[in-house]
This record gives sequence, C-alpha cells and structure tokens, in this order.
Amino acid sequence: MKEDLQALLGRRLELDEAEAARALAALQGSPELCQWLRSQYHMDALLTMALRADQVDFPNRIRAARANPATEDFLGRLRKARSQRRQLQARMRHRQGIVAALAGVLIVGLCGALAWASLRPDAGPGQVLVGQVQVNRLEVRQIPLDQDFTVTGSRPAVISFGHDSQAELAPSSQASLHANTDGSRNCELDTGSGTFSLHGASRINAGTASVSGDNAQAATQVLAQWSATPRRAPLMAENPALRSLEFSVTSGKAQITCQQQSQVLHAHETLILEMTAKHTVATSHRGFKGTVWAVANQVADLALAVGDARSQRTCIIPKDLVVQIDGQQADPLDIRRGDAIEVQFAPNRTDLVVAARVTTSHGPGDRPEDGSR
Amino acid sequence: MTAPEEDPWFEQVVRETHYRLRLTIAGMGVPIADVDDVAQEVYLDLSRGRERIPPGVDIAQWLHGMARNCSYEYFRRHSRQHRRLVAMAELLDWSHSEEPPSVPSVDALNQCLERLRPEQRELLEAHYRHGRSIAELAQEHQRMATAMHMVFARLREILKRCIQTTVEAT
Repeated sequence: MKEDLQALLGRRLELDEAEAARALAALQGSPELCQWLRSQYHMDALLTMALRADQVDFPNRIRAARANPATEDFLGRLRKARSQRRQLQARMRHRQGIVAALAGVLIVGLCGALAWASLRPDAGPGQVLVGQVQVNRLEVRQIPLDQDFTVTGSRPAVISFGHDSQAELAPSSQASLHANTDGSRNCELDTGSGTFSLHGASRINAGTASVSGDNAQAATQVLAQWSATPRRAPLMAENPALRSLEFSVTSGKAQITCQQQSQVLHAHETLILEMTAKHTVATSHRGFKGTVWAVANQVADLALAVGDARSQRTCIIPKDLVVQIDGQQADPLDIRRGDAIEVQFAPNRTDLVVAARVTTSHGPGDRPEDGSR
Repeated sequence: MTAPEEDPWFEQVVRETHYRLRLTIAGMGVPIADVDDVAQEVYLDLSRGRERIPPGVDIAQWLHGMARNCSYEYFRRHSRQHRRLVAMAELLDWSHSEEPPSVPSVDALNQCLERLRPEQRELLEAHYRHGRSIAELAQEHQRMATAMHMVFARLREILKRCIQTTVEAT
C-alpha cells in the first residue's frame, strides 16, 4: 500500500488524477497508513528545520515581515512568479514528454518493423536444438510464441532465442517464449533452472525479475534457477508461495531489474531474490564465487585475486576476520592459492566482507606469500 | 522602512508556537519548501487582526484552525488535484489523532543523527543541509528515484523510533 503513496513523498503537487485518486483511496482505507505518512511529513520538516541554516530563525523572519510589509509583498510577488513559472515548466515538460513518447513509439515501431522484416528468414528463434520439449503434451522442434513448454526426458534441452542467444534448460523446467521487436525472444522461466547465453535484447524473466545482457559483443552467461536456499528452506516448506530465485553470472555482465530497482551483476556474482506470491522481494544477497589465483599478504589485510582466466576480482579481507574453512572457523591466512571460495557482502552492498567460505578441502598447496599474485 | 511595532504578546506567541505550527502545516502535506510561507501567512493574519479571535478560544487552537485553512488554500492555488489533496490533508490533520513531535525532538534528532551509519548521515545531509534533490542522489547512487524515496522514508522511520526512545529515556 505504501507504493500508492510514493508520489506523495516526491511530487505531491504534480500528481495526475489517477495517482491522486489511488493515494486518497489508500489513506481513506487505512488509519495506519495516515499515521505513517504524517510521521514521514513531520520527520521531513524536523530534519529540514534542524539542518537547513535558513530555517533556524523563523521568529526573526516574521519580525522582518511585519516591519516591512512592502518588501514582504515584493517577496510574495517573487514567490508567486516563481511558483507560476514552476507550474508552467511542469506543464511544458508534461507536453514535451507526450510528444517525445509519441515520437519514440513511432521510431521504435518503424525500427521494429524493419528489424522484423530483415530477421524473418532466420528460423532460429524458438528452435529446439538439443533435447526434448513438449507443448500441450506434444513434442515439438519449434516452440510457438506465448505457449508454455516443458523440458521432458532426462537431459537438458537447448533452445535458440535468435540473435545467437540460447537457453539450456534442465529437465522438468517449464518456461515460455515471448517476442521482442528486434526478432529476439524473452524466456519466461516459470520453474526449474537453466543456463542462458544472452545477446542483444534477449531477456530472461522469472517472477518479478528480469535479466538482460549488457548488449556488448560478448555473450552474457547467466545461470537462473528457482530453488530453496538452505536458510529459507523451512519457511518455504511452510509457505509454498514463497520462492527463491537465484541468478549467477558466469561471464560478461547482466542487468537485473526487480520491482523498479536495477543492479548490475558481474562475472562470478550471484543474486538471490526471495519472493512471495504477491511478488514482494524479501531479501537480496550478493556475493561471488571463484578460485583464488593469488594471495597478497599486506600489513592489515589480505588481498585475494579471485576468478578465472577471463575475469578476475580483487577481494580485500581484514586479517582479523573469521572465515570458515570446511565448515570450521579459521584464520584468513589459511586461504591458499587454488582454493575455491565464496565471498559474501553485507546487505549494504559496500565492500565489507562478512564471510568467506572455502568450499574445498586443502591439498598440499602453496602457503600465501607476501606480494605474490 | 518602518520600525516594527513592539508587540511583546505577539512575539511571545510566535516564539512559543512556531515550531509546532510549522510541523502541523508540513504534516498536512504542504511541501517542505513552502511550509514557512504558509506559516508566515498565518502569523501575519494574527498580527493584523488579533481582535478576530473569539473570546475564550485558546490561541494555539485558533492558530491550528488558521493553519488548516491556509494549507487548504495553498493546495487550491497550487495543484490541479487540490480537492483530493485537501481531502488527504483532512485525513492527515493531527488534531484527529496524534500530535506532532514535541520541541525537545530537535535535540533528540541531533543525537539520533550521530547514531546513524556515516553513509546514511551523509545521504541525509546531502539532501536536507545541502539541498541536493532526491533524483540527483538517486542518479549518483545508481538507483531509481522511487527507490531513493523509500531509502529516505526508511531513514526517517529509523530516526522517528530513535527520537521516541531518546525522549522517553530522558
């Protein structure tokens, strides 16, 4: 319900009719929401009064206004003119927005028609390259648009999206394909998991999340799966509507948009979204996995180069951080070259490392050396 | 420029009530940039016609009524959706429920600001002290403006809870 009031926090004088009606209806139906909004407004004013230097001496302002009403009238006229100018600008922006949107729709339409005409001979989109896929319990080699399909058999199915984009979906996965104006396809993953290679405008949609590549030459490889994370598994058993969605980028970078929030995931980064039936994201988690290529022992911390031959990240770990190695608490200095590690960030997404877990046991590897990389 | 007419009663009323009156106006939804303009209108009206206050009516009550009228008039003048904004202001009017934060809240607020994480404090200072817009800050932090509004809403909730705890403790 608080979503209905978002416009009131930002631009309450420029609300359109629908927004104003929605906000009023939300407030009329909920005294708690009224209280929440009132306290937001109060805190907004309190912060302004406390932090803005020009708001501190209000009694003096009134004294000045009484002392010189002519000046005050002049200021009033200025304020009125400024306010009218603001309204006029807002109206102009609104009109310009409509014209720009119409022009945009026209251009996109023309481009889409041209792209569709030029790409139609490419029979790739929707083609099943490997494996078995059924639509309405009938096996197909070409998946029709907007139809739910299921991967049957015991091995994954590879499906072409067009524009060199592909999906390798695990057995029992259910999904559907939808068209983009440039001839590429979006894959709506309803259940299961798959490894996606994204080019151009191809996207993966799952739940309320949408994943796209960065439109660069190289393909973005994304592993997407609906699953129960260990932490949430008991809750999910109690509430089947609660689902967990995991995206792992193996190469390139992907943009993930969920409920109007976007974030970019780089190679070896994982994002876990927890969703309810009402499409609310409960928590998000971000981190990355990889192999330690080099360890540099610095004065107060340890710098780890993590990744593979194509992509590497440097991760700084304070030496006093407690890490887990094979499930037991250990010293970061015990991390060695060749270890597979998983690094997790704090929810504030700063580079603060809160846990590092070595997922493989140690062999007779090298000890970290000062400055080695 | 004429010298201000000395009016100790009026000066005292302003000193004692301005903080609460401004919060009342803000609480009805008048944008923060215009709250002081509306409050000034209320006080100038009081200054011009003190004799209009009916006998037996408490000055704070009269000011609250004037603040309500001036806020509604403000919406009529500044928004096409003024009817709905006035209806919302009626729902938000604190006289129907809780009162605005009390005067000691400003001191408590300063204490609570100190307890925030540095990045949270910097965000609040950028907006409230240095006047940077939410849209600008959203762009800088690579977030949608709506998401940044919700970040600020959460910070205000945290501060409100902290102020309540601090005031109760003292």
